[in-house]
Amino acid sequence: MDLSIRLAVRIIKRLVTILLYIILSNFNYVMANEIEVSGFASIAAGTAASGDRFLADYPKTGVYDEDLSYSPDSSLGIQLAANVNPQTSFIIQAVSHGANSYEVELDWAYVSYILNPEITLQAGRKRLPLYYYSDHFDIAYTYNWVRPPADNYTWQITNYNGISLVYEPNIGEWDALINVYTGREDSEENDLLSSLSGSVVDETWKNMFGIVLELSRDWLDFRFTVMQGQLDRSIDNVIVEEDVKQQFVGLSTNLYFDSLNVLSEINRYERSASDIQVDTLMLSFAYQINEFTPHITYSSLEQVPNAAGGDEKHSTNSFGVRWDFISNMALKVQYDKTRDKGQTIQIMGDAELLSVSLDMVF
Amino acid sequence: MFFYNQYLYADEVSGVLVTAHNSQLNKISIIEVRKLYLGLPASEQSGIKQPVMNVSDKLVYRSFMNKIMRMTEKSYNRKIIKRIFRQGADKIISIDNDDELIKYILENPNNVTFMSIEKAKHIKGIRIVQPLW
Repeated sequence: MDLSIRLAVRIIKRLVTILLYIILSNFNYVMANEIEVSGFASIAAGTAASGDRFLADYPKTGVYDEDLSYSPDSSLGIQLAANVNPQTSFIIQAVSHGANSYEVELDWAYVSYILNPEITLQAGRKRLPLYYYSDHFDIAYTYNWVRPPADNYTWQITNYNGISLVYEPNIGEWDALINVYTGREDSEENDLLSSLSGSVVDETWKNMFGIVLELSRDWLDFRFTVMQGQLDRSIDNVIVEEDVKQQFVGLSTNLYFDSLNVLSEINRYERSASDIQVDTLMLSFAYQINEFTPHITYSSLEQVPNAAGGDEKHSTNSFGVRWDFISNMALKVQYDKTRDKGQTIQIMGDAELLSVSLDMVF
Repeated sequence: MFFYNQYLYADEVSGVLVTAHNSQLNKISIIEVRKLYLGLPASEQSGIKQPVMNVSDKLVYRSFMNKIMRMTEKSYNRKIIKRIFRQGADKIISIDNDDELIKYILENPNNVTFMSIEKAKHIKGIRIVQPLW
Protein backbone atom coordinates (compact mmCIF):
# COMPACT_ATOMS: atom_id res chain seq x y z
CA MET A 1 0.00 0.00 0.00
CA ASP A 2 2.75 2.40 1.05
CA LEU A 3 4.72 1.57 -2.06
CA SER A 4 1.79 2.34 -4.35
CA ILE A 5 1.16 5.68 -2.59
CA ARG A 6 4.81 6.62 -2.91
CA LEU A 7 4.71 5.68 -6.57
CA ALA A 8 1.58 7.76 -7.10
CA VAL A 9 3.18 10.77 -5.37
CA ARG A 10 6.26 10.37 -7.54
CA ILE A 11 4.13 10.23 -10.69
CA ILE A 12 2.18 13.34 -9.63
CA LYS A 13 5.41 15.21 -8.94
CA ARG A 14 6.76 14.20 -12.35
CA LEU A 15 3.56 15.27 -14.11
CA VAL A 16 3.58 18.64 -12.40
CA THR A 17 7.23 19.15 -13.35
CA ILE A 18 6.33 18.44 -16.96
CA LEU A 19 3.41 20.85 -16.73
CA LEU A 20 5.68 23.52 -15.29
CA TYR A 21 8.09 23.00 -18.15
CA ILE A 22 5.28 23.25 -20.71
CA ILE A 23 3.98 26.44 -19.11
CA LEU A 24 7.40 28.06 -18.99
CA SER A 25 8.25 27.06 -22.54
CA ASN A 26 4.97 28.58 -23.78
CA PHE A 27 5.29 31.81 -21.85
CA ASN A 28 3.43 34.00 -24.36
CA TYR A 29 0.50 31.59 -24.43
CA VAL A 30 0.54 31.51 -20.66
CA MET A 31 0.43 35.30 -20.34
CA ALA A 32 -2.40 35.55 -22.87
CA ASN A 33 -4.46 33.09 -20.86
CA GLU A 34 -4.24 34.92 -17.57
CA ILE A 35 -1.78 32.74 -15.78
CA GLU A 36 -0.42 34.82 -12.95
CA VAL A 37 3.29 34.60 -12.30
CA SER A 38 4.71 35.55 -8.90
CA GLY A 39 8.05 34.85 -7.36
CA PHE A 40 10.50 35.36 -4.58
CA ALA A 41 14.25 35.17 -4.19
CA SER A 42 16.85 35.33 -1.47
CA ILE A 43 20.53 35.68 -2.09
CA ALA A 44 22.27 35.08 1.20
CA ALA A 45 25.85 34.74 2.36
CA GLY A 46 27.29 33.88 5.71
CA THR A 47 30.17 32.49 7.69
CA ALA A 48 30.45 30.78 11.06
CA ALA A 49 32.25 33.31 13.24
CA SER A 50 32.93 30.65 15.85
CA GLY A 51 32.30 26.92 16.10
CA ASP A 52 32.89 24.55 13.22
CA ARG A 53 29.40 24.64 11.77
CA PHE A 54 26.15 26.53 12.20
CA LEU A 55 22.85 24.84 11.29
CA ALA A 56 20.76 27.71 9.93
CA ASP A 57 17.97 25.80 8.23
CA TYR A 58 16.92 22.52 9.85
CA PRO A 59 14.45 21.19 7.24
CA LYS A 60 16.88 21.58 4.36
CA THR A 61 20.00 21.18 6.52
CA GLY A 62 21.45 24.50 5.42
CA VAL A 63 24.79 24.54 7.22
CA TYR A 64 27.39 27.33 7.29
CA ASP A 65 31.02 26.61 8.10
CA GLU A 66 34.13 28.74 8.52
CA ASP A 67 34.26 29.57 4.82
CA LEU A 68 31.98 32.16 3.29
CA SER A 69 29.01 30.26 1.88
CA TYR A 70 26.15 31.39 -0.34
CA SER A 71 24.07 28.23 -0.37
CA PRO A 72 22.40 27.54 3.01
CA ASP A 73 19.83 30.35 2.89
CA SER A 74 19.67 31.24 -0.80
CA SER A 75 16.54 30.29 -2.70
CA LEU A 76 14.45 31.15 -5.72
CA GLY A 77 10.76 30.40 -6.14
CA ILE A 78 8.32 30.81 -8.98
CA GLN A 79 4.59 30.50 -8.49
CA LEU A 80 2.15 30.03 -11.34
CA ALA A 81 -1.55 30.42 -10.72
CA ALA A 82 -3.73 29.39 -13.64
CA ASN A 83 -7.37 30.38 -13.50
CA VAL A 84 -9.34 27.59 -15.11
CA ASN A 85 -12.61 29.41 -14.46
CA PRO A 86 -13.68 32.06 -11.91
CA GLN A 87 -14.01 29.40 -9.20
CA THR A 88 -11.17 27.07 -10.03
CA SER A 89 -7.45 27.69 -10.19
CA PHE A 90 -4.38 25.52 -10.34
CA ILE A 91 -1.35 26.71 -8.39
CA ILE A 92 2.18 25.42 -8.53
CA GLN A 93 5.22 26.76 -6.76
CA ALA A 94 8.62 25.52 -7.81
CA VAL A 95 11.47 26.36 -5.47
CA SER A 96 15.20 25.98 -5.86
CA HIS A 97 17.18 25.97 -2.62
CA GLY A 98 20.90 26.44 -2.32
CA ALA A 99 20.87 24.04 0.62
CA ASN A 100 19.58 21.34 -1.74
CA SER A 101 22.16 22.02 -4.45
CA TYR A 102 19.63 24.23 -6.25
CA GLU A 103 17.51 21.26 -7.29
CA VAL A 104 14.01 22.36 -8.25
CA GLU A 105 11.31 21.08 -5.91
CA LEU A 106 7.56 21.46 -6.00
CA ASP A 107 6.56 22.79 -2.62
CA TRP A 108 3.03 23.61 -3.72
CA ALA A 109 0.92 22.01 -6.43
CA TYR A 110 -2.78 22.13 -5.78
CA VAL A 111 -6.19 22.81 -7.20
CA SER A 112 -8.20 25.51 -5.48
CA TYR A 113 -11.97 25.71 -5.75
CA ILE A 114 -13.88 28.71 -4.39
CA LEU A 115 -17.11 27.43 -2.85
CA ASN A 116 -18.13 30.97 -1.94
CA PRO A 117 -16.18 34.21 -1.33
CA GLU A 118 -15.31 33.03 2.18
CA ILE A 119 -14.74 29.31 1.70
CA THR A 120 -12.11 27.66 -0.48
CA LEU A 121 -11.42 23.96 -0.96
CA GLN A 122 -7.90 22.97 -1.95
CA ALA A 123 -6.48 19.59 -2.91
CA GLY A 124 -2.94 18.61 -3.76
CA ARG A 125 0.49 19.36 -2.36
CA LYS A 126 0.91 22.19 0.15
CA ARG A 127 3.22 23.34 2.92
CA LEU A 128 2.38 21.82 6.30
CA PRO A 129 1.08 24.78 8.34
CA LEU A 130 2.54 23.84 11.71
CA TYR A 131 4.48 26.93 12.76
CA TYR A 132 3.59 30.58 12.22
CA TYR A 133 6.10 30.99 9.38
CA SER A 134 5.76 27.44 8.02
CA ASP A 135 3.85 28.26 4.88
CA HIS A 136 5.95 31.30 3.96
CA PHE A 137 9.21 30.04 5.42
CA ASP A 138 11.02 30.39 2.08
CA ILE A 139 9.72 33.89 1.40
CA ALA A 140 12.24 35.73 3.52
CA TYR A 141 10.95 39.12 2.38
CA THR A 142 7.89 38.61 4.62
CA TYR A 143 9.89 38.64 7.87
CA ASN A 144 12.69 40.66 9.46
CA TRP A 145 15.27 37.91 9.89
CA VAL A 146 17.55 36.32 7.30
CA ARG A 147 15.63 33.14 8.23
CA PRO A 148 13.04 32.27 10.89
CA PRO A 149 14.70 31.36 14.22
CA ALA A 150 16.26 27.96 13.61
CA ASP A 151 15.58 26.54 17.09
CA ASN A 152 11.89 26.96 16.52
CA TYR A 153 11.76 25.51 13.02
CA THR A 154 13.29 22.09 13.55
CA TRP A 155 10.74 20.14 11.55
CA GLN A 156 11.73 17.33 9.25
CA ILE A 157 8.46 17.21 7.30
CA THR A 158 7.52 20.50 5.64
CA ASN A 159 4.86 19.50 3.11
CA TYR A 160 1.85 17.27 2.79
CA ASN A 161 -0.35 15.85 0.09
CA GLY A 162 -4.00 16.11 0.94
CA ILE A 163 -7.08 18.26 1.22
CA SER A 164 -7.55 21.59 2.91
CA LEU A 165 -10.60 23.73 3.60
CA VAL A 166 -10.09 27.43 4.26
CA TYR A 167 -12.84 29.59 5.77
CA GLU A 168 -12.18 33.34 6.01
CA PRO A 169 -15.01 35.15 7.76
CA ASN A 170 -14.97 38.70 9.02
CA ILE A 171 -15.80 39.11 12.69
CA GLY A 172 -16.35 42.77 13.43
CA GLU A 173 -12.95 44.47 13.29
CA TRP A 174 -11.21 41.12 12.98
CA ASP A 175 -10.13 39.08 9.97
CA ALA A 176 -10.43 35.41 10.76
CA LEU A 177 -9.05 32.33 9.03
CA ILE A 178 -9.93 28.75 9.85
CA ASN A 179 -7.99 26.11 7.98
CA VAL A 180 -8.84 22.44 8.36
CA TYR A 181 -6.59 19.96 6.56
CA THR A 182 -5.80 16.29 6.26
CA GLY A 183 -3.09 14.42 4.41
CA ARG A 184 0.24 12.62 4.50
CA GLU A 185 3.85 12.97 3.43
CA ASP A 186 6.40 10.32 2.55
CA SER A 187 9.97 11.55 2.82
CA GLU A 188 12.55 9.16 1.47
CA GLU A 189 16.06 9.75 2.78
CA ASN A 190 14.82 12.66 4.82
CA ASP A 191 17.31 15.55 4.61
CA LEU A 192 17.40 16.49 8.28
CA LEU A 193 17.16 13.05 9.92
CA SER A 194 19.59 11.41 7.49
CA SER A 195 22.08 14.24 7.86
CA LEU A 196 22.00 14.27 11.67
CA SER A 197 22.07 10.48 12.07
CA GLY A 198 24.46 9.66 9.28
CA SER A 199 22.08 6.89 8.15
CA VAL A 200 19.37 6.65 5.53
CA VAL A 201 16.18 7.64 7.31
CA ASP A 202 12.80 7.32 5.60
CA GLU A 203 9.97 9.10 7.37
CA THR A 204 6.23 9.11 6.79
CA TRP A 205 3.70 11.33 8.48
CA LYS A 206 0.28 9.89 7.78
CA ASN A 207 -3.35 10.31 8.80
CA MET A 208 -2.57 13.91 9.60
CA PHE A 209 -5.48 16.06 10.66
CA GLY A 210 -4.91 19.66 11.58
CA ILE A 211 -6.65 22.92 12.34
CA VAL A 212 -5.25 26.43 12.12
CA LEU A 213 -7.13 29.38 13.62
CA GLU A 214 -6.02 32.93 12.88
CA LEU A 215 -7.43 36.21 14.11
CA SER A 216 -5.91 39.46 13.01
CA ARG A 217 -6.43 43.17 12.89
CA ASP A 218 -4.03 46.00 12.22
CA TRP A 219 -2.07 45.77 15.46
CA LEU A 220 -2.54 42.12 16.41
CA ASP A 221 -2.06 38.68 14.90
CA PHE A 222 -3.15 35.66 16.87
CA ARG A 223 -2.67 32.11 15.64
CA PHE A 224 -3.44 28.72 17.16
CA THR A 225 -2.56 25.45 15.47
CA VAL A 226 -3.01 21.80 16.32
CA MET A 227 -2.15 18.73 14.30
CA GLN A 228 -2.21 15.06 15.08
CA GLY A 229 -1.29 12.05 13.03
CA GLN A 230 0.86 8.96 12.88
CA LEU A 231 4.51 8.45 12.13
CA ASP A 232 6.44 5.64 10.40
CA ARG A 233 10.24 5.67 10.41
CA SER A 234 12.85 3.34 9.08
CA ILE A 235 16.60 3.61 9.45
CA ASP A 236 18.69 1.88 6.80
CA ASN A 237 15.51 0.08 5.71
CA VAL A 238 14.83 -1.24 9.22
CA ILE A 239 11.47 -0.15 10.60
CA VAL A 240 12.00 1.52 13.96
CA GLU A 241 8.66 3.28 14.40
CA GLU A 242 5.28 2.35 12.97
CA ASP A 243 1.83 3.91 13.43
CA VAL A 244 3.16 6.00 16.30
CA LYS A 245 0.78 8.74 17.34
CA GLN A 246 2.17 12.30 17.31
CA GLN A 247 0.73 15.69 18.11
CA PHE A 248 1.78 19.29 17.53
CA VAL A 249 0.28 22.34 19.24
CA GLY A 250 1.37 25.93 18.66
CA LEU A 251 0.39 29.42 19.69
CA SER A 252 1.62 32.70 18.21
CA THR A 253 0.88 36.28 19.11
CA ASN A 254 2.28 39.22 17.17
CA LEU A 255 1.77 42.82 18.22
CA TYR A 256 2.27 45.61 15.70
CA PHE A 257 2.41 49.02 17.33
CA ASP A 258 3.38 52.17 15.45
CA SER A 259 7.07 51.39 15.24
CA LEU A 260 7.48 48.54 17.67
CA ASN A 261 6.69 44.94 16.72
CA VAL A 262 6.63 42.13 19.26
CA LEU A 263 6.58 38.63 17.78
CA SER A 264 6.17 35.47 19.83
CA GLU A 265 5.63 31.80 19.28
CA ILE A 266 5.46 28.73 21.52
CA ASN A 267 5.05 25.17 20.29
CA ARG A 268 4.93 21.65 21.70
CA TYR A 269 5.56 18.43 19.80
CA GLU A 270 4.67 15.13 21.49
CA ARG A 271 5.15 11.49 20.61
CA SER A 272 4.07 9.83 23.83
CA ALA A 273 4.74 6.22 22.79
CA SER A 274 8.36 7.15 22.11
CA ASP A 275 8.54 9.26 25.28
CA ILE A 276 9.33 12.39 23.28
CA GLN A 277 8.23 15.89 24.16
CA VAL A 278 9.86 18.91 22.54
CA ASP A 279 9.08 22.51 23.45
CA THR A 280 10.15 25.46 21.31
CA LEU A 281 9.68 29.16 21.82
CA MET A 282 10.62 32.44 20.19
CA LEU A 283 10.39 36.05 21.28
CA SER A 284 11.42 38.91 19.03
CA PHE A 285 11.35 42.69 19.27
CA ALA A 286 11.70 44.90 16.20
CA TYR A 287 11.61 48.66 15.95
CA GLN A 288 11.03 50.37 12.63
CA ILE A 289 12.93 53.62 11.98
CA ASN A 290 11.95 54.73 8.50
CA GLU A 291 13.36 52.09 6.12
CA PHE A 292 15.41 50.42 8.83
CA THR A 293 14.13 47.76 11.22
CA PRO A 294 16.61 46.64 13.87
CA HIS A 295 15.52 43.52 15.74
CA ILE A 296 16.56 41.26 18.58
CA THR A 297 15.37 37.68 19.07
CA TYR A 298 15.65 34.81 21.50
CA SER A 299 14.64 31.29 20.47
CA SER A 300 15.03 27.92 22.11
CA LEU A 301 14.31 24.23 21.82
CA GLU A 302 14.21 21.90 24.78
CA GLN A 303 13.44 18.22 24.75
CA VAL A 304 12.32 16.72 28.04
CA PRO A 305 15.09 14.16 28.84
CA ASN A 306 13.89 10.58 28.37
CA ALA A 307 15.08 7.06 29.06
CA ALA A 308 16.53 6.76 25.55
CA GLY A 309 18.90 9.62 26.28
CA GLY A 310 17.02 12.22 24.28
CA ASP A 311 18.07 15.58 25.67
CA GLU A 312 18.23 17.95 22.68
CA LYS A 313 18.54 21.47 24.05
CA HIS A 314 19.73 24.60 22.29
CA SER A 315 18.98 28.31 22.18
CA THR A 316 19.95 31.23 19.99
CA ASN A 317 20.27 34.96 20.53
CA SER A 318 20.06 36.99 17.34
CA PHE A 319 20.17 40.59 16.39
CA GLY A 320 20.11 42.22 13.02
CA VAL A 321 18.84 45.00 10.81
CA ARG A 322 16.46 44.95 7.90
CA TRP A 323 16.71 47.75 5.36
CA ASP A 324 13.76 48.23 2.99
CA PHE A 325 15.78 50.24 0.52
CA ILE A 326 13.39 49.84 -2.42
CA SER A 327 9.88 48.54 -2.98
CA ASN A 328 9.65 44.73 -2.68
CA MET A 329 13.35 44.35 -1.80
CA ALA A 330 15.08 44.21 1.56
CA LEU A 331 18.69 43.92 2.62
CA LYS A 332 19.36 42.20 5.93
CA VAL A 333 22.37 41.74 8.16
CA GLN A 334 22.21 39.37 11.13
CA TYR A 335 24.32 37.96 13.92
CA ASP A 336 23.32 34.69 15.68
CA LYS A 337 24.85 33.02 18.68
CA THR A 338 23.73 29.47 19.44
CA ARG A 339 24.32 27.58 22.68
CA ASP A 340 23.99 23.82 22.26
CA LYS A 341 23.43 22.36 25.73
CA GLY A 342 22.47 18.81 24.79
CA GLN A 343 24.64 16.16 26.41
CA THR A 344 23.63 13.01 24.52
CA ILE A 345 22.14 14.81 21.55
CA GLN A 346 24.35 17.64 20.39
CA ILE A 347 23.31 19.14 17.09
CA MET A 348 26.26 21.24 15.95
CA GLY A 349 27.69 22.53 19.21
CA ASP A 350 28.05 26.18 20.22
CA ALA A 351 28.44 28.47 17.24
CA GLU A 352 28.13 32.04 16.00
CA LEU A 353 27.03 33.14 12.56
CA LEU A 354 27.32 36.35 10.59
CA SER A 355 25.00 36.49 7.61
CA VAL A 356 23.64 38.93 5.07
CA SER A 357 20.80 38.51 2.58
CA LEU A 358 19.02 40.31 -0.18
CA ASP A 359 15.35 39.27 -0.27
CA MET A 360 12.74 40.16 -2.85
CA VAL A 361 9.29 39.33 -4.13
CA PHE A 362 8.04 39.92 -7.64
CA MET B 1 -7.43 64.11 -19.49
CA PHE B 2 -8.78 65.77 -16.40
CA PHE B 3 -8.03 68.59 -14.06
CA TYR B 4 -7.81 68.58 -10.40
CA ASN B 5 -6.40 70.84 -7.83
CA GLN B 6 -4.60 69.17 -4.98
CA TYR B 7 -5.45 72.14 -2.80
CA LEU B 8 -9.01 70.86 -2.79
CA TYR B 9 -7.76 68.47 -0.17
CA ALA B 10 -7.98 69.90 3.27
CA ASP B 11 -7.78 67.70 6.34
CA GLU B 12 -10.44 65.36 5.07
CA VAL B 13 -11.17 64.02 1.63
CA SER B 14 -14.21 61.91 0.78
CA GLY B 15 -13.41 58.72 -1.08
CA VAL B 16 -15.64 56.85 -3.51
CA LEU B 17 -15.56 53.51 -5.27
CA VAL B 18 -15.55 54.04 -9.04
CA THR B 19 -15.76 51.96 -12.20
CA ALA B 20 -16.12 52.46 -15.94
CA HIS B 21 -19.44 54.02 -17.04
CA ASN B 22 -20.41 50.86 -18.95
CA SER B 23 -19.85 48.48 -16.02
CA GLN B 24 -22.72 46.53 -14.53
CA LEU B 25 -21.91 46.65 -10.85
CA ASN B 26 -24.00 46.71 -7.72
CA LYS B 27 -23.24 48.41 -4.45
CA ILE B 28 -21.41 46.27 -1.93
CA SER B 29 -20.74 46.57 1.78
CA ILE B 30 -17.59 48.28 3.08
CA ILE B 31 -16.61 44.91 4.54
CA GLU B 32 -16.73 43.40 1.05
CA VAL B 33 -14.65 46.26 -0.34
CA ARG B 34 -12.09 45.54 2.33
CA LYS B 35 -12.12 41.82 1.55
CA LEU B 36 -11.68 42.53 -2.16
CA TYR B 37 -8.54 44.53 -1.44
CA LEU B 38 -7.29 41.76 0.83
CA GLY B 39 -7.38 39.45 -2.17
CA LEU B 40 -10.57 37.54 -1.41
CA PRO B 41 -12.91 36.88 -4.34
CA ALA B 42 -15.85 39.16 -5.00
CA SER B 43 -19.39 37.90 -4.58
CA GLU B 44 -21.27 37.03 -7.76
CA GLN B 45 -23.98 39.58 -6.96
CA SER B 46 -21.51 42.46 -6.96
CA GLY B 47 -20.35 41.78 -10.52
CA ILE B 48 -16.89 43.10 -9.63
CA LYS B 49 -14.03 41.55 -11.54
CA GLN B 50 -10.92 42.99 -9.89
CA PRO B 51 -9.99 45.79 -7.49
CA VAL B 52 -7.26 48.22 -8.50
CA MET B 53 -5.13 49.97 -5.89
CA ASN B 54 -4.85 53.70 -6.53
CA VAL B 55 -1.45 54.82 -5.28
CA SER B 56 -1.29 57.91 -7.49
CA ASP B 57 -2.84 60.11 -4.83
CA LYS B 58 -0.97 59.57 -1.56
CA LEU B 59 -3.57 61.34 0.57
CA VAL B 60 -6.46 59.27 -0.78
CA TYR B 61 -4.36 56.12 -0.55
CA ARG B 62 -3.53 56.79 3.10
CA SER B 63 -7.17 57.57 3.87
CA PHE B 64 -8.22 54.33 2.17
CA MET B 65 -5.68 52.34 4.21
CA ASN B 66 -6.76 54.04 7.39
CA LYS B 67 -10.54 54.13 6.99
CA ILE B 68 -11.31 51.05 4.88
CA MET B 69 -8.42 48.63 5.31
CA ARG B 70 -7.81 49.79 8.88
CA MET B 71 -4.10 49.04 8.74
CA THR B 72 -0.77 50.56 7.85
CA GLU B 73 0.74 50.20 4.40
CA LYS B 74 3.37 47.83 5.81
CA SER B 75 0.76 45.58 7.45
CA TYR B 76 -1.26 45.57 4.25
CA ASN B 77 1.71 44.60 2.07
CA ARG B 78 2.66 41.84 4.48
CA LYS B 79 -0.88 40.41 4.37
CA ILE B 80 -1.11 40.56 0.59
CA ILE B 81 2.24 38.92 -0.07
CA LYS B 82 1.46 36.15 2.39
CA ARG B 83 -1.90 35.61 0.76
CA ILE B 84 -0.44 35.41 -2.74
CA PHE B 85 2.02 32.72 -1.77
CA ARG B 86 -0.06 30.85 0.82
CA GLN B 87 -3.38 30.78 -1.00
CA GLY B 88 -2.46 31.48 -4.60
CA ALA B 89 -4.47 34.70 -4.51
CA ASP B 90 -4.29 37.08 -7.46
CA LYS B 91 -2.02 40.09 -7.09
CA ILE B 92 -3.79 43.37 -6.48
CA ILE B 93 -3.06 45.62 -9.45
CA SER B 94 -1.45 48.82 -8.23
CA ILE B 95 -1.21 51.97 -10.39
CA ASP B 96 0.70 55.10 -9.40
CA ASN B 97 -0.24 57.40 -12.27
CA ASP B 98 -3.62 59.13 -12.61
CA ASP B 99 -3.87 58.90 -16.39
CA GLU B 100 -2.86 55.24 -16.43
CA LEU B 101 -5.31 54.45 -13.65
CA ILE B 102 -8.25 55.98 -15.46
CA LYS B 103 -7.24 54.43 -18.77
CA TYR B 104 -7.04 51.04 -17.09
CA ILE B 105 -10.47 51.39 -15.47
CA LEU B 106 -12.06 52.51 -18.74
CA GLU B 107 -10.48 49.62 -20.65
CA ASN B 108 -11.46 47.02 -18.04
CA PRO B 109 -15.18 47.23 -17.31
CA ASN B 110 -16.27 45.78 -13.97
CA ASN B 111 -12.90 46.56 -12.38
CA VAL B 112 -13.07 49.05 -9.54
CA THR B 113 -10.79 51.55 -7.86
CA PHE B 114 -11.16 54.36 -5.33
CA MET B 115 -10.53 58.09 -5.57
CA SER B 116 -11.67 61.36 -4.10
CA ILE B 117 -15.25 62.33 -4.88
CA GLU B 118 -14.06 65.68 -6.26
CA LYS B 119 -11.85 63.95 -8.78
CA ALA B 120 -14.42 61.28 -9.70
CA LYS B 121 -17.01 63.93 -10.53
CA HIS B 122 -14.74 65.54 -13.10
CA ILE B 123 -13.58 62.46 -15.01
CA LYS B 124 -15.43 61.52 -18.16
CA GLY B 125 -16.38 57.86 -18.47
CA ILE B 126 -16.05 57.15 -14.76
CA ARG B 127 -19.08 56.17 -12.71
CA ILE B 128 -19.30 56.42 -8.94
CA VAL B 129 -20.49 53.09 -7.54
CA GLN B 130 -20.79 54.19 -3.93
CA PRO B 131 -19.23 56.41 -1.28
CA LEU B 132 -16.56 54.74 0.83
CA TRP B 133 -15.74 57.25 3.53
